[in-house]
Amino acid sequence: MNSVRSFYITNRFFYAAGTLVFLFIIGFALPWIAVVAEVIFYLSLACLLIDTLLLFRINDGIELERLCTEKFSNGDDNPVRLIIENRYPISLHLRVIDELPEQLQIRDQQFDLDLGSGEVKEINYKVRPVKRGEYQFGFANVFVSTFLGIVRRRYQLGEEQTVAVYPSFIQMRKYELLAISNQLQEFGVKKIRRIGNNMEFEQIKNYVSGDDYRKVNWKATARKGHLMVNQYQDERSQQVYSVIDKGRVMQMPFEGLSLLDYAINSSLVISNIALKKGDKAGIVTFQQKVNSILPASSRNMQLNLILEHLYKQKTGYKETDYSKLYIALKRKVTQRSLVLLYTNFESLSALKRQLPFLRRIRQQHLLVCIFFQNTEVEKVIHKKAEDLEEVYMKGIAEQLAFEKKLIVKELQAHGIHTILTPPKELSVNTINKYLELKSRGLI
Amino acid sequence: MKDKKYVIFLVALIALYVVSEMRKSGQVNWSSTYHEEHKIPFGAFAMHDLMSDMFDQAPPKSEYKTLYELAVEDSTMGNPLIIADGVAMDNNDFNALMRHIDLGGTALISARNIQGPLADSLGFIVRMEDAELAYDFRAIQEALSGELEETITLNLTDNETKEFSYSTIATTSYFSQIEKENFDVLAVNATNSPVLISYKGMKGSLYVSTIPLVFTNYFILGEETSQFAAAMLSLFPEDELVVHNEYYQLGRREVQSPLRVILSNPSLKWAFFILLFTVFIFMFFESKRRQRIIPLITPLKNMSVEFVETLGRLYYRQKDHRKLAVKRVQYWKDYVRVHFNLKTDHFGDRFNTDLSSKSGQPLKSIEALMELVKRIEEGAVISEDELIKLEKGLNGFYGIE
Repeated sequence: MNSVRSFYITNRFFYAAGTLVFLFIIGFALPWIAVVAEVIFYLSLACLLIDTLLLFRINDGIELERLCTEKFSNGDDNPVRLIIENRYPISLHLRVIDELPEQLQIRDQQFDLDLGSGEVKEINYKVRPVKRGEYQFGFANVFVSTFLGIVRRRYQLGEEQTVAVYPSFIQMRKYELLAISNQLQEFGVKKIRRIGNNMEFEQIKNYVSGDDYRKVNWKATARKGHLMVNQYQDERSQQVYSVIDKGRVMQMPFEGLSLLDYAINSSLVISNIALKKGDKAGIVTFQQKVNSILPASSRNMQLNLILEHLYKQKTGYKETDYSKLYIALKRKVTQRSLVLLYTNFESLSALKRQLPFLRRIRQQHLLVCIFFQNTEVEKVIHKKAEDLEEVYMKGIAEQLAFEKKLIVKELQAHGIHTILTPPKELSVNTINKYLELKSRGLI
Repeated sequence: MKDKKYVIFLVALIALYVVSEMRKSGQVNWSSTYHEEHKIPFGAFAMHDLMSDMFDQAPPKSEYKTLYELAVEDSTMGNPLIIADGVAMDNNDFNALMRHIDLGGTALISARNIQGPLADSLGFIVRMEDAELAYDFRAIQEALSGELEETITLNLTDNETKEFSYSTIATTSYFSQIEKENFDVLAVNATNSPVLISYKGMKGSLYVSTIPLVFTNYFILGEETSQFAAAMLSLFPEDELVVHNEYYQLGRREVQSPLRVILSNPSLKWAFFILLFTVFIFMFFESKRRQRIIPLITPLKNMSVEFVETLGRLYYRQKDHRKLAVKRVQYWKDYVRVHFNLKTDHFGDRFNTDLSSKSGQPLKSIEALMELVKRIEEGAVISEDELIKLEKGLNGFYGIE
């Protein structure tokens, strides 16, 4: 029964059958071809039998193991490895169809490879999940055929595997290094102007060329006999809250990933950097009410807490209520903090509704309002219009893009910092803003 | 688990069908076939049994070809016995038949309805009553169970008459009109209309009858009625071959399917069966699952472009070209301010040259664009063409290909 289930047939079988039918039809006119066809028929039958025997004589002829991490990073390419071994005494052709988690909606993934006797090969591929949650890998289906290639045998190998997709910790690690080494500019990610100086003293160190000579510590120089300079550091232990709007406006997807997930990924990145810089990081999420508050802290555990906290976030995409947010911040966050508010405004009127609450929050905290450029609309702007109707569409698209800039101006007029960013560059822009605000000592 | 449910359901369905079919089988098939192998009431199995007793020197056989084909191609016509519901020969058949009679052969044609050259040339008309008795099973059953009987008077030789009583179903047809000089009446029904006549004026003898049902199992197995059939059959010479020609009732007895040609040639037969088998294999193996079912999850859709298009169409229907032009200029001015750091509150030659040098666009195209922009700023009426021109100008400026 089992071998019937694993019995499959290749296209070669059908080609052969087709050829035979063709030959026999010709044989109608030329009888000697019919004789040849008959011989070929019996030969193919023999081949079929031999092929079946070759494949089904051995059980467990193929070994396969799937290797991947326990956690996947949302919105990033996560590597998966399949290690396959051929235990047949002959070399084989393999077609591997891995049963990917259904959330990926990939139905056409298959790998073809040739495997010599006893040979071990590796298949590497990447999956890009766009939703947090549990992902279920099924079996790996390996279809084996010999050099005759008439029959195919299916092996269901590997094991069913559950992988949890977490907010993007890959991005977190990537930006961590860049931010610590102040490389964000050098990397060409974005150029920012750093204004101001920090006055918190850290240490006295030897002068090296390039140090600011205004900071030479003459007393120390006199004592040591060579130039010494004071070194200052950024202020520490400031609170950084990532406030995530989980409302209706955040449902919009870009490249499969919703704005909410961009925001979640980015808040993980920024929290990590804040913690590394000695600040305290916290998370607030809200929609029609404030759903959760993770108080800012700089304990060792905090990053893991944040990761788990963000992983768990469920969404209903309700209409957001900023008054509830204001009240919660007023009560729970008493120390002046950097509030990074991830939200989205599509029009000026949408902003005007929420502006009073934003202004109130700004009175107590340093508020950065982060919202998104609509890259889909921008694509319309950068396309050539073919007729008058398309000119109108383009005009409207330009107006929408322009309105985003008006929103920025409106917010700035009320002393609220803004980041208007394409979803893909959200993390970089947020980090830069954080570093800028810190160096300016605005918190 | 789900699969099992389907299988059980399917098996139950098939079982139900089989049971219902089995319950149906009690019905009797009353259709008249006159076929040598049929044991149904109106088959002719009993007649062939009877005939092989009567003609033991040359046992009768059945043929399934037209008289013409038998005469010309096979040249073994024998003495034809034709029993059918209706006979309509064409000229070839009729001529073959007449030649056979002319050469001294014998033929008996028994049919409820006879038309064509046979009736026309020889000169008789067959009339049929209660036509539905030929196919309506319920009417047949009622007619047979009823008391109504009719007498047929047979007069084969001049002095000897015999009477047989039949159910009316057997005698629904009779000759309503015959050319008296051509025919001898051999048997009449209760109303004295002929039911069996013989053609005279030729060397052989041709008998025509309108009561084919007397040759069927139902009536031959009756004690009395079988004698009439036997009497009719004894009109054939005892030592000559009688051929029961079933063509006129059943047609050709060979495979009727359009595949006849293919199946008759071994090479094509191979091709056909390989093809059939392959299609079957294809359906079976290609429908097999290669990986588990992946349920459809509709991904989130970004509707912003649709939103822009709807809004654009709405404005397009209003056709307020100026309003749109102002929007576009507003965006352009913002673009100039952000990208080239130029003030856009006052336009002039200075602005044009600055913009040209900063954007790298030729002064000429900048000037052309500026003229349009100025017109829009001044509040002039903007035409469709100008809007298109603005689009082209802006495309050039933004570098959109």
